[in-house]
Amino acid sequence: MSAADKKPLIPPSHITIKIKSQDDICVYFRIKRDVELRTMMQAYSDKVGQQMSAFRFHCDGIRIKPNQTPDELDLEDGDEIDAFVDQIAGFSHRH
Amino acid sequence: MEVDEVEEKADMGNGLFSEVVSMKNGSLRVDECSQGNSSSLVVNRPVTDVTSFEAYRKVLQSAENRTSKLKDRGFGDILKERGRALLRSLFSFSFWKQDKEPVEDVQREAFLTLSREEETAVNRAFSANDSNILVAHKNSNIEITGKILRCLKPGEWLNDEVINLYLVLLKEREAREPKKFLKCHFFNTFFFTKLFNSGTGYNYSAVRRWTSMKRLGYHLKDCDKIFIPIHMNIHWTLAVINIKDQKFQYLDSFKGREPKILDALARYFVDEVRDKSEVDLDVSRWGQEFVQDLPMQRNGFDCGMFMVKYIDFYSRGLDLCFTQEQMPYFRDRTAKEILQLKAE
Repeated sequence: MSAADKKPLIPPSHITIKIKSQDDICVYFRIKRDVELRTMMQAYSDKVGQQMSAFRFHCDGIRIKPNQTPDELDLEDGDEIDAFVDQIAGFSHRH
Repeated sequence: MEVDEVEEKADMGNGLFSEVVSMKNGSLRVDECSQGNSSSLVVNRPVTDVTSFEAYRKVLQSAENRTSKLKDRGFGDILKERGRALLRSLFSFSFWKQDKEPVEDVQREAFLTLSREEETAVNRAFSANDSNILVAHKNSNIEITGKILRCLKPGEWLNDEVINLYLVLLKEREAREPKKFLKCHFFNTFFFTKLFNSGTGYNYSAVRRWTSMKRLGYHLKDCDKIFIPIHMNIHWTLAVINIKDQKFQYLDSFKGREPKILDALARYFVDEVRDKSEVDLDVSRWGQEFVQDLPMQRNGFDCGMFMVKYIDFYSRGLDLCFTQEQMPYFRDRTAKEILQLKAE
């Protein structure tokens, strides 16, 4: 909130990105267009108390790498990123 | 004398064929056991040719089953050649030459053995450090570390990374040789999670942008088959939108049935076609099939490998002609293909 107070308008160099969990819980981040998404991914992981390696960040079904920037991905203000959780399976319990 | 023998063989084949057909409801077997040339062969030729094809396929399959263990020691080719010679004496050569190649090539490629160097490379990769990045696939942004690849070792459960990268490689394989493989779309393992949320249910808009023309370069409705891997907690299964045969299929290596998944996909496909092509598609007559005649899992860890191979074989236009016994081979082969970033 304090950051927003100081800068009531979002400068054009920044965008707001929504990270959505598989349970549809959203966390919002304001980031610079030319900065790697790694910091945002790390911040999200810290916030939900998981290791970053447990998440697969996707935008419209395409995997995002931590070293990509919003500019590279053509992300726009308000865009949504999915934080999918790693999947592993091998067995079925059927009784 | 020779004629009698051929006829007897044909009758036998005929019996087998109709038995299989009745098990799988009508023309299903025909549609799935072969692609392209061979599929039109089965449909258009007189009955004797159908039986010849089926008989040949079964003989070859049984020959391959018997020789798989000997292959390593170099006996495989000799036995296979003897089998071929026998078959050549049963059928006229002109027919043989015309029809043998596509079927055999497609099936043979599904079971190519690894060279010694490839096996060494796979074993070395299996013992790589956890965080060591073994391969990075540029377009999909997927990186495979030692830890992730190890899910392909015997007894391990498959993870999303390996499956999703492999599906990308299958799409690249199709792009390399479009005539050889069916036109398919391979959704990643997260698609269904997104489409059908356990809390909020079906949500088309969540995946609407996944399949834009700009992104794919084609419309889903123009594919032959669309594969949807399903992650069910601790089990991998597969759903298929089979456009070619107008049906929705569900394949579970434990033969489970999930009509809700197929209902959601039917709804998805209608929504998708309406959104991208502005056409109202009527799927009310499309069938729902819970495939029962499939290779079954006999342990507590191979379901992911079964799912991947259902996709691989279907995209080749092949019948699901493999068993549990081949899973260790498929694991090694998949590891090899991932390390080379190329599916054969």
